[in-house]
Amino acid sequence: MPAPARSRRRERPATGARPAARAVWTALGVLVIAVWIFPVYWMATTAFKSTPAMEADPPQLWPHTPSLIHFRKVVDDPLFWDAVRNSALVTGITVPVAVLVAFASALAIARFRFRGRGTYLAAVMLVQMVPHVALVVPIFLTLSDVGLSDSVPGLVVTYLAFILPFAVWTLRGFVASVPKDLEEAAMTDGCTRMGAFRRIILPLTLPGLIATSVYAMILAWNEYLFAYFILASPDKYTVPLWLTHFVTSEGTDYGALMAGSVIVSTPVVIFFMIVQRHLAAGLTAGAVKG
Amino acid sequence: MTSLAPSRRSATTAEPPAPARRRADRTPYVLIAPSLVVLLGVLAYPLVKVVILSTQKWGVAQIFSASSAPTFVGLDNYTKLLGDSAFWTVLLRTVVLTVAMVGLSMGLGLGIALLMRQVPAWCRRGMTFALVMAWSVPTFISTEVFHWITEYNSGVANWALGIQPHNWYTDATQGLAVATAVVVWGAVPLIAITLYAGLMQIPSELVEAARMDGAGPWGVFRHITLPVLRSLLAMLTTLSVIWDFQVFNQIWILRNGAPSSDYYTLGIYAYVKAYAGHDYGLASATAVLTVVALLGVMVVYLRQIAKIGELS
Amino acid sequence: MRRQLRTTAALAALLLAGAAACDSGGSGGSGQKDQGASASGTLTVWLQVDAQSLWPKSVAAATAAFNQKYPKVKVSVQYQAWADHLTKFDASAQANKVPDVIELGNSETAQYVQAGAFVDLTAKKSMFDGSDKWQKGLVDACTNDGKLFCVPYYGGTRAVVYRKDLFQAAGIAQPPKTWKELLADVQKLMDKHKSDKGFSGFFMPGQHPYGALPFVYDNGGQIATQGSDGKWKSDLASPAAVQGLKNWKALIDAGMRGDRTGDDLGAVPALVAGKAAMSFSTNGQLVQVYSADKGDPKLKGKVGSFPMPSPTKEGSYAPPYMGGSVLAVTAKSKEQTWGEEWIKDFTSTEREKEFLAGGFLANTLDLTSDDPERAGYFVGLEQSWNVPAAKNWAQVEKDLTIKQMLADIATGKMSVEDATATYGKKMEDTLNAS
Repeated sequence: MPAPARSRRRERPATGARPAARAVWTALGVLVIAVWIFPVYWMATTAFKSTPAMEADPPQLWPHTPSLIHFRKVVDDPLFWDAVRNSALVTGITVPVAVLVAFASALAIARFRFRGRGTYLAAVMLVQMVPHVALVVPIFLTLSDVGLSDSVPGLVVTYLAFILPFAVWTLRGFVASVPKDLEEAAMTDGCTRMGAFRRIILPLTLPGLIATSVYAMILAWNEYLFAYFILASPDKYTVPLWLTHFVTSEGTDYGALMAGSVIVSTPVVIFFMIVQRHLAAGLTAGAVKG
Repeated sequence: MTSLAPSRRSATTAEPPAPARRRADRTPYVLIAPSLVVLLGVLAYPLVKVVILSTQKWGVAQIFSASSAPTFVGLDNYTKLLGDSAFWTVLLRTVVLTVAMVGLSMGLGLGIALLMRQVPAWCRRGMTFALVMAWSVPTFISTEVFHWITEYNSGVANWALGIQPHNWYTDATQGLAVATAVVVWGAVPLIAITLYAGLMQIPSELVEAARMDGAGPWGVFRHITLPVLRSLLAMLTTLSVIWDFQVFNQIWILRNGAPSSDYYTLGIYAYVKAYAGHDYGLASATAVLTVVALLGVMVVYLRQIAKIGELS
Repeated sequence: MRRQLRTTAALAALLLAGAAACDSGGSGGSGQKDQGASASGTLTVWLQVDAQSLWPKSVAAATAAFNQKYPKVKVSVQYQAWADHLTKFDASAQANKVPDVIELGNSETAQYVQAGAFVDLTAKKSMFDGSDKWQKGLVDACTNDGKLFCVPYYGGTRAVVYRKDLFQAAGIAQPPKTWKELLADVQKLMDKHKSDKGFSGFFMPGQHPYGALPFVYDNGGQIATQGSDGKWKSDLASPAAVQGLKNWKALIDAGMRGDRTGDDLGAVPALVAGKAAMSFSTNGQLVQVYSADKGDPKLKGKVGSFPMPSPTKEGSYAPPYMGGSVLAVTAKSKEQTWGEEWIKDFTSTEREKEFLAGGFLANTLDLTSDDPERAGYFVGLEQSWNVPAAKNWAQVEKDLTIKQMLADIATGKMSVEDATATYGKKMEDTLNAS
């Protein structure tokens, strides 16, 4: 799949724009890169600076004498690795389950007429309107009544409830914009309903599945409030909970906080870099048909 | 009810072969069942609880009392909020901020998604990398970073602008502008990447065909791009409104956890007013009012959304 | 739409019924009766993250000592963040999953003590080390109607932290002993660093209640007083308090060129970077200045402390605020005896010495440090003060009334008179709310 995607990109560079226009677009693109990367760059370089260097005037645009002291503090803490393991577990379960459950709902809504469809969609959205701070205590009480507080499954179902609205809505859009006649054509070509699903719907909605899973992953990986209330035992803490111990009443250990953030952001970015070329998969699949 | 059901069934079974139709009837319910179970299981009780609590006095004194029973207070919590003139100021400020935040993040997000189709591959890869990097940083960390960048004496922003020292936060308008920037910065990656994924669904043949028919860039955008993106745009706008309306972290952290009252949004107002006093009844009432306000803001919009759901 | 709503409501009701039916029994364990070496179960302790960062070894040592007596009891120490720990405590009480032991800041206790959330420890007071000489500021936070509901854990005050090297460079040989000398020294430092627009001779931000309020007490003012009818009355707008805050403002105007809307956590970075020569900070913050991770090890030996001179009484000091933490056994706990025993082990004299070494004050005043660097922290403690013992005080702190008032004074947005009148009224309403 990657090969055709790549060749396609080469053959159709920037939808045939004029060179002058292309230069302007590229310049704008570079500006976007700069604006979105700079705070992250600042965070990452801060993690390598000693406190005097962080406060230097004029600011050090790069760490003049890079120091690993903050990183060492993070990686030397056995609790950090526990937290990474817990977060990986929570995220590893949440992402596939969320995508599956949401995809099923999206198919139902986009491909079937049934009563209460619009209401379901609106209600899913409505549920999101209630501020999380107001929900966190009752959710904790619900989970603890059924014995799911202080447990990974409890955290996972909570995350599912907050991922589903975005996921269902996004995927519904993707499924809906797959032309029905494409599917029907495949079926008349001898494909079963499953076959049509696998060959037509799945590849064409892949970009949506990827966007959804990145969303789910980031939410499950970074969420703090619900994790703080639902989890009790320190050996179950996720990374964001662990990170907050650098925030004490006497001040915040910024260096360690930033170093920790750099380390925990990395898996998300790696995950995305691996899946991102499939964002172009829709095009490829379209080409199969054309 | 009983008389209606069979007649309906007989009406539908008239057209396609009966067995296939009946199976199709059940399929959608089976498909949405898992998500319904999750949503109802996790949220039904809490939602009901929030409404009930909003009519009760429920705080430390009640929770730890021997009976630990809440006191019913009727609409007291609501009258307390609605009677507070500050509440209305805060509500107005929240609406204005939400409009600004959503407008900017949707505009930039769409712009960047479209831009990603126009730039060379290396630049596109750089853009997705930068966006995902930014997206992957937890809000409380990225806001700390922005707090730092705008720090009075040694902040790199002041240094770069040559206005050292400058206090961005004595004037709330300026401070809220910084907060808006932080929110937009954090929101754009999700929007841009989702819309870009949506754009990827448009077959380039369609665009070529439209071009050949003499459509300019604007025509292509209006007649091809926009229709494909419409439902994604509607969904992202709705969620952005919901999220930005409840903005809390960014302002809270930029102001060291002690914003002055001219920084209050509904989320902060609720926190300071209700949670500070462990007054969960009042807190729930603010939550209910938040939903009501959101519904008020989006009533037209939600109808549109329900229609999209019905149409597709 | 309406039908949908009804279905949802019905489902919710079903869920509610289910929730009510399976009211869980709370944390496990063998119950109150089974005591002694054979007892088994789990003791849950909530400590704040500070213990995790500052003295994890003391926590382990206390648990080890406890396990000598109860070898089969597992002690689960769960670290909590300051921001939401009380909300989580409220939630745990509703779920019948309370921790057995909980740490609270001494300004957070009143509402819980008055609501009956903690076990009455009056009869057992003598079992805790040093209980006859506990610091008043901490014991007061634990006392209601003459009964004791918690145990002092550690204390903390503020003193003036200063950079010796910057003092020397400005030609100041000795730390100031009087208010006049202090202001003169600030002026010398400001003259010396005239070209640096971000330099503060004295770093004193607006959102620094425990930096400002000592000046109120110094001048004979108070935060609030309780009348014989039980009603609280703001004292912030009294002439004495207003003048006290004006003295504070004078120090800001003389020496503060940092962010006036900021809080005292900005002091350490400013001192480390040489952007400030003095600040009114805790002992823990002083230690951070030369720590490897949060400060600059090169500054070791170059920072010292002295008590804040009184603006009104020559040779005396502005009375410091006594902050700190306390430990309580929760009334809903099923393992109260274990909780008391663990607290006893965690507040033993030996452990208290470790808290002292960690940069705080012990729970008794007789434990002091002879480290000259810390000299400023052990002077004038007998006149230390505490926040009003009002049930709603924690709310006043959290609803930001005091911080907003001080920030408005510091930035000059409001005059001292206007600010104290406006915010004092707001505080009064909160304190007297039911």
